[in-house]
Amino acid sequence: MSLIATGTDFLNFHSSVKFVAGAYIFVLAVIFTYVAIMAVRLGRNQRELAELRRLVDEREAEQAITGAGQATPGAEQVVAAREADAEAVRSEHQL
Amino acid sequence: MSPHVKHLRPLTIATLITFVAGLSLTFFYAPIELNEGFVQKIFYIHVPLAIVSLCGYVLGGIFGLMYLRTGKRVWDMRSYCAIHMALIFSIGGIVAGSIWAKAAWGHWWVWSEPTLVSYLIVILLFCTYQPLRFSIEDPERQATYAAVFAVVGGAFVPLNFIVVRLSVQYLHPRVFNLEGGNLPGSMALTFYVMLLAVALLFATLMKYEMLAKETRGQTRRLRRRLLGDENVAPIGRSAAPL
Amino acid sequence: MRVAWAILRKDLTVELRTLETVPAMAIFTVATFVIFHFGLQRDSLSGQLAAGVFAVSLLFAAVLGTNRLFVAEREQGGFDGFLLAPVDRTAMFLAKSAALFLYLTVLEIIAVPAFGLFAAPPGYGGALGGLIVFLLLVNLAFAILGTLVSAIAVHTRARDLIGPIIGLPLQIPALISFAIGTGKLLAVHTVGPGEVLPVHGAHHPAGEWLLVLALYDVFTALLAYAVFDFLLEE
Repeated sequence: MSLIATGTDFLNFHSSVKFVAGAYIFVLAVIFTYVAIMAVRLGRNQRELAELRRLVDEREAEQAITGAGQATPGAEQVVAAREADAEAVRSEHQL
Repeated sequence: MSPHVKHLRPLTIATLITFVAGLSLTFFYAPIELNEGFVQKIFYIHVPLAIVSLCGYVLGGIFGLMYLRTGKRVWDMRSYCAIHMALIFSIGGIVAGSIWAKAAWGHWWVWSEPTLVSYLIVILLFCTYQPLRFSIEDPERQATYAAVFAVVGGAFVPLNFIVVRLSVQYLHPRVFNLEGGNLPGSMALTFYVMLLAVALLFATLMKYEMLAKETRGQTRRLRRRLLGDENVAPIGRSAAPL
Repeated sequence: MRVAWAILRKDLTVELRTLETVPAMAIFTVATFVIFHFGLQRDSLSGQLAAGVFAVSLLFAAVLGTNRLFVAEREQGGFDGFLLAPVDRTAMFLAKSAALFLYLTVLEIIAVPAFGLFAAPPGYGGALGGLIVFLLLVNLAFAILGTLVSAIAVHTRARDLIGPIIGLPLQIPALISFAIGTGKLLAVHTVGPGEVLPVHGAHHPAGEWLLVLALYDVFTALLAYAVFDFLLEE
């Protein structure tokens, strides 16, 4: 028996369209809802991250200017803090 | 970009192309099946969803095992993301499957279909993954316990299917045989393209979620450094790693 | 082994002195039988129905026992002491699952006659031999999974909640085999303990389910043995 229909008269084509549409729409809705929620969260976090990075750079530049004349502990601290931060990030990923 | 999430863009594009191709094949290429008619089109989405989500649970278990062996937090995150995605795919799969059951057999739920029943049990088990994580405060312990759960759950998946299938064979004669088997070529092609599309979707979304988690972690670290520990709101308990 | 025995003896001594767990389980099971009587409105249960009622009542009692399993360790710092001692972690698993197994066995010594009294399944006496074999195997599954789940749940905040919700799905395969197997036992009257064992040609329909249950026991035991150590680390 062949599984492939050749005729056109399907008994309940119209009622089955409803089910097929329902199933596909549900699945796509679930996925899109998830993607949308994730996109909103990720976008927010990425904006915040960029903002924070800008703040960090500003602060470092400020400290570099104020401490230009003397050998400031500030600049060293910044460098040290930066290294410590990088280390922390590295260890967190490798740990 | 984060060190653990690579090739997100090409993966996303590949997923989109495969998915569109799969859907086009489903609706414009695959012939309408004789016994069930148009309803059989649901088969091309719910079976791949089910297969991929089950593989996702097993994958979560394997990642959990890697965490237990290596102790690297990134494995915990992979395990978490895999199980999280698998759960979302399962919900899509079981609802689509239920709609198919209603259309094909006239019932929303069929106890004599072992795949459906064992799938429900697996979902019930993995629904407890998030509450379990959430109720352990210490992050290290959370990761370890979640990994143990993932390993047990991952091993439970195939075993549960075997037992449930046996029980149905003994209780009822198998009437339905619609999980692939001898599909004609055009249907098989459509099915495999859809399976690939769903698997790619799983991979993409999992990476996407890992990226989100890592970004959140980075933000939190930077904020703490910039504003000082006391000015940053405490993380609060979370089910997610990091 | 000696360590496991010491922990088991400690648990049993505590249980004998306080009588906290097993009596509660027994009361709970008998109460469940009564509840089922009113829920089903039957004076006598037979076959699959009887097996289902019995299996579910046992499972509920096992959940109760599981919840109590590590309470003393958590409240009185037994974990710390155990971790400090230079002993194999597996001993804790062995001792705890043995304790749960014994609790369940004692419970069944009460529950089996009580079920005969309240549910009065026809042919109950004849099926008793096979039933005991099934009970021992299902106790093993409940004990192994119960210990594993309890060890996971004991360090969580919502431990009374987390334990059962993780444990119930994991116990479904054991429950399926037990319920179907004993259902067949109770449907076919007068079966001796020897006839159920698949060794004798596997003629009895319940025999296959005994095999499934035994395999599930073996599988869960190996799995729990493999992962249990991680649950005790500090």
